[in-house]
Amino acid sequence: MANDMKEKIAQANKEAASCLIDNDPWWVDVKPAGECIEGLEDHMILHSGPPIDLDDMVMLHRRGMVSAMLFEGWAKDEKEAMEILHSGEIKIDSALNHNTVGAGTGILTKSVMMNVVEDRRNKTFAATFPAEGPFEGGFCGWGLYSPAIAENLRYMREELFPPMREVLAKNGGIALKPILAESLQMGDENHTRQTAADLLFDKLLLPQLFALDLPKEAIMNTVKYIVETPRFFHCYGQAASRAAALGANGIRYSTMVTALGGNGVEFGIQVAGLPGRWFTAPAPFMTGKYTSTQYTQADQLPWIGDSCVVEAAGMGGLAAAASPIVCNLRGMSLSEAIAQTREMERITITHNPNYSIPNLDFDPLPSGIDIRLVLKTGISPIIHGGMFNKVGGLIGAGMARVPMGCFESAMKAFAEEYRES
Amino acid sequence: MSAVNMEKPIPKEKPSVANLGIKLFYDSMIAQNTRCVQIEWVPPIKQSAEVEELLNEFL
Repeated sequence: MANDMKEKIAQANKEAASCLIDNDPWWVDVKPAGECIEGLEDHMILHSGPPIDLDDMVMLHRRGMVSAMLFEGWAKDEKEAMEILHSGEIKIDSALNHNTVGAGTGILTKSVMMNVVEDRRNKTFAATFPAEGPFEGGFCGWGLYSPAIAENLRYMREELFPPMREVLAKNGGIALKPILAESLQMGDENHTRQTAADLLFDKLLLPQLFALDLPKEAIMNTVKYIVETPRFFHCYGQAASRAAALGANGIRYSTMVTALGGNGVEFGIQVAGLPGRWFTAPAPFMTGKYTSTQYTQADQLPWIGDSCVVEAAGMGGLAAAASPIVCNLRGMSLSEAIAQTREMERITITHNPNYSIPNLDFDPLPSGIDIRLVLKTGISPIIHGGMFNKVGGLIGAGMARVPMGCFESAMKAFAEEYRES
Repeated sequence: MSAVNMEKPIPKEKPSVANLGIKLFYDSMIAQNTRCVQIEWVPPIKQSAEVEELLNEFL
């Protein structure tokens, strides 16, 4: 009986991992969130990490809620916004309960413009908010709202994206997997670093923008925005990862992790065979380098954001060997970066033959975190990311370990769901 | 602390060391210009009895 169960899990995990390694993500459109996020209703706000009550939210999330109310015109000022939020008129939900990702604070409402990625192998769609140019985290990532940010959001919707949409309508979409695969061989791990991916993306997109029959100024404004925005490709990597993981969502008997994210209070994971359920533990602090010596852990907010969907798809912390440059920012050597990926191999279901890495002597990257292997080895997944200041803004970059408590509660729930009487 | 075993004199040749686990010892060997390889190793994890039982059943 036990062997039957183990065989069922093995088969399910093989199927789930194939969603990650055989994925075929394409950037196909840019649309308002209300038109591409399933289940995102009017008067609803999404946020990063596992679900959390308004009163328990950290300041960044509460500020983001108010910003969303002002952005959508649901309240005229902060006081009215808080009153309406406390009245329960506004639905609040986790972004990862939908086909999207809440990077940073992950504040999303129906009018935010989103990049839409179609996974043609997994038959899934995922939407992620674009990098907010000069405001970087801006409204969605940092939960900030001001007249200047409002103007930038309008600019993105009305001027920046129309030329891009025209390119996508003409060419039928832009394939993202070749960019991810090549950038991983060029020093990116595609969480903290997208230097190569940005260049590969620009090389593909820019000639097509120049070929449009539009005024030169309109095209140049779009080009300038793209090339001057650091890590512009990050949102595409997240969307590709999310779409792949959604393909595995609901595969019975699978113990593969499909989502990871924090809300500054708790960190949560989701598991393929237990769709829609969260397994949480206190959010971890990051270790790494601060941007200034004035900062210490006392300034740091525990993990907030869902960008570690890229780790669920086998990049970021699992791909440390691909990016010794990112690891060196934390004082790690090349051999330590390689050791980090080798350690992650012990908790993953398979390898991704599309992502073979020079520093691993062209071995492929590990892929598909298995909750059982995490518990068996005591090795928790390493996730890369940016450190948030408690009062907002980025104060550094580094890594954290996903809390073991998430895996313990997931394993217990799995047993309750699947144990054969 | 045990006494030094005089029957086994300190080798004249420089040793070659394989260090298991704590990297501080590896760094110390390298600092002394001694050949050393680092082997990543941690003691096997001890889980709770409940988790052990679940792993036996499902892994």
